Amino acid sequence: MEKARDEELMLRYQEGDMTAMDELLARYKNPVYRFAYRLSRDASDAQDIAQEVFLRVHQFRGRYEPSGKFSTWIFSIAHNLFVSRLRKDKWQVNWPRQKDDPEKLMDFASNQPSVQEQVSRNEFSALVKKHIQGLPFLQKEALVLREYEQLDYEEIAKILNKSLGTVKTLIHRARLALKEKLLPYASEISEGLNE
Amino acid sequence: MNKCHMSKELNSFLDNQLSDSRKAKVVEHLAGCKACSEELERLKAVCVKLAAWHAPEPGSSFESSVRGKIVAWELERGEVKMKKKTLAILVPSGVLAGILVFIFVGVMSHGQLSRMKASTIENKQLAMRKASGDERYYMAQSATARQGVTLSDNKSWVSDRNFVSSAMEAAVVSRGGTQGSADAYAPTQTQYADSGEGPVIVIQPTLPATGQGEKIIRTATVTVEVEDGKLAYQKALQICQELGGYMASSNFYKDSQGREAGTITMRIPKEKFESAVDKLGALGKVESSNTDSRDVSQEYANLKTQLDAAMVVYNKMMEALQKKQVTIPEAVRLESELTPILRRIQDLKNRLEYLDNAISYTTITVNVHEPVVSVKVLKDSKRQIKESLINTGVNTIKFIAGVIPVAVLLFFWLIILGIVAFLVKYLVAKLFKRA
Repeated sequence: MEKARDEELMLRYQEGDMTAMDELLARYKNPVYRFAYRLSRDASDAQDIAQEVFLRVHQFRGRYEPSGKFSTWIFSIAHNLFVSRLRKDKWQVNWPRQKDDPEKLMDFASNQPSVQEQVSRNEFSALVKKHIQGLPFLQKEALVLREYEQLDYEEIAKILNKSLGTVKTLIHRARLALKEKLLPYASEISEGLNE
Repeated sequence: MNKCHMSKELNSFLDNQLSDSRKAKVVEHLAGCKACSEELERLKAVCVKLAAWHAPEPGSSFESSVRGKIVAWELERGEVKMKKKTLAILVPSGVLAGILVFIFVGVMSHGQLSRMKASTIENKQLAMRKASGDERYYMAQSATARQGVTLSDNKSWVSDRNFVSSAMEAAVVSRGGTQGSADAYAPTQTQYADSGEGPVIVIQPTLPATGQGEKIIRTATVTVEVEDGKLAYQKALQICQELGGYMASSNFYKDSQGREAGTITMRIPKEKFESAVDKLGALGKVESSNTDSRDVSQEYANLKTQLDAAMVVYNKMMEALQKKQVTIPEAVRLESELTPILRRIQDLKNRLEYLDNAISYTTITVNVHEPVVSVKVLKDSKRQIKESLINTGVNTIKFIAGVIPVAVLLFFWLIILGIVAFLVKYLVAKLFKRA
C-alpha cells in the first residue's frame, strides 16, 4: 500500500483526523529530534524543543498551506522556536553585557583543550559535535539541515527565511571552518587506526 | 587557501545543487584546476568525517509526551473558552437582573404609596367609627326601627354621595307617614357600623318627621375628603351664599404635612337643609355625614306659655294701676313688683327669639381636608422620582464623560509607550547585529 504524502496527512489532520497526526509524528519525530539535538546544549533541551515543535504543529495546523512541503514547514517551526529561545535566553541572561548575536550564542569553541587531549578514536564523534556546535548558529543550522537531514538549498533557505545565496555562503563557511579544525586530526586518527 | 573564483561553487557542486549547465562548467574547471580539485577532495573528506556524529533517537515516551502536551493545551484552551462563554452569559444576565431589580423596586415603591393611601383612609374611618362609638350605632338602630327604614343590609362600604342622597330621599318619603307626630322626632344620624363581613354604612333618615308649627333645631356635620382643600373651601362658601345662608365661622389651615384643610360653620335656612347637605357632600368623598335634630317644641311651648302668663300678670297689673290712683309708696311697691315680671318677659322673649332663629336656620359644619396621599402628593412624589432619575442619569453621563477622556489618554500613552518599547528593542537588536 502506497504511503500518503506528508501534505495529504497534514490536510487530513487539519480536518480533525488524529490518526494523520500519529502518522506525521511517527515520520518526523526522529528528524525533528535529531535537528533539535544537534542545535541544543543537551538531550533534555532537545526533547523539550522537539515536543514543543509538535505541539505548535497542532496549535497552528490551521495555518498550514499545502502549497509548501510539510518538512519545510515543520523545520521552520523548529527554527523559529530556536531563534525565539535564543533571544529569550540572551535577554534574560546575557543582555546587555554580552554583545553577541544569535549566530554566536551557541559558540562553545572558546576554551578548547589541546587537540592531543581531545582526539581519540572513541572521542571523534564528540569532537565533531563540539566543533559543529562551536559554529555560529545559522551556519550550524544550515549545515545540520544539509549534512544530516539532506535538505536542498532552496528548502533550507525557506526554513531559515534567508536567500539562496546566503544559505550557500553559510554552508561554505561552515565547511571551511570544520575543514580547518577536523582534517588535521582526521589524518592522525587514520594513521593511528592504520598502526 | 584556495583563491580560485570557482571555489565557492564547490560546495554546491558537492551537494548536487547546481544546474546541469553550471555543473558542466564546474567539471570542466576541475579538470584544469588542481587547487579546486584538492579542495573538493578535502570537502568530501570533511563531509565523511561529519557523518561520525550520530544523534540518538528520542525516548520511547516521546510520542506519549507530545500527545499529553496537546491534550493539556486543549483542556486549557477549553477552560479559557468556557470562561469566555461564562462571562458572555454572566455579564448580560447581570445587566438584565439589574434592570429587573430596578423595575421591581419601582413597582414596589408605587404599590407602597397606594397602600399608604388606602391605609390612611381606613385608619381615618376606623378612628371616626371609634369616636362615634356604640351609642351612635344604637341611636341609629333605634331611629331606623322607628322610621322603618334601614339600609344596614348593604354589604359594601358605601360612601358614594349619590347613594347617600338617594337614601336621604327614601327617608324623606318614609317620613310622610309620621308627619305631624312630635314623638317621631328623633336624632338623625349617618352612622357606620361594622358587620361580620366588613364595614357597612348605616344611613339614617336625614330629617325626622316635622309637623306644622313644630319647633326643631337641626344641625349637621359633614366631613369631606377633597383633592384641593382651598377650592373645596371656596365652593362651600359659595353654596352657603347661594342657599341664602350665612357663614357663622370658618377656619382654613395647612397641617404639618402640607395638606390644606378647613372647617366652616354655616347657617342655612331650614327649608334648604337637605339641599345644602347634598351639595356639600358633592364637594368630594364623604367620609362622614352626621345630622342631628333636637325637638324644642315643648320648650318653645313652655316658654310661650310662661311668656303669655307673664304678659297676663303684667297686663292685669297695668290695668289695675290705670283704674285707680295710687299713692307714691304704693307706686314704688308696684314698680318693684313689675320689674321682675318685665325682666322675666324679656328673658322669655329673648329665649323664644333664639329658638326661632335656631329653628329657622339650621347649622351645618363642614370639614374639608385633603387626603394623606393626595394626587398632589403623588404628583410631587412622581416628580421627585423623575427628578432623581434624571439626576442619576445626568451624573452617570457626567461620570462617563469624565472617564472617557482619561481612558483615551491612557490608551494614547500606552500606544506611545508600546512604540517606544518597540523602537528600543529594534535599535538594541540592530546594535547587536552590527556588533
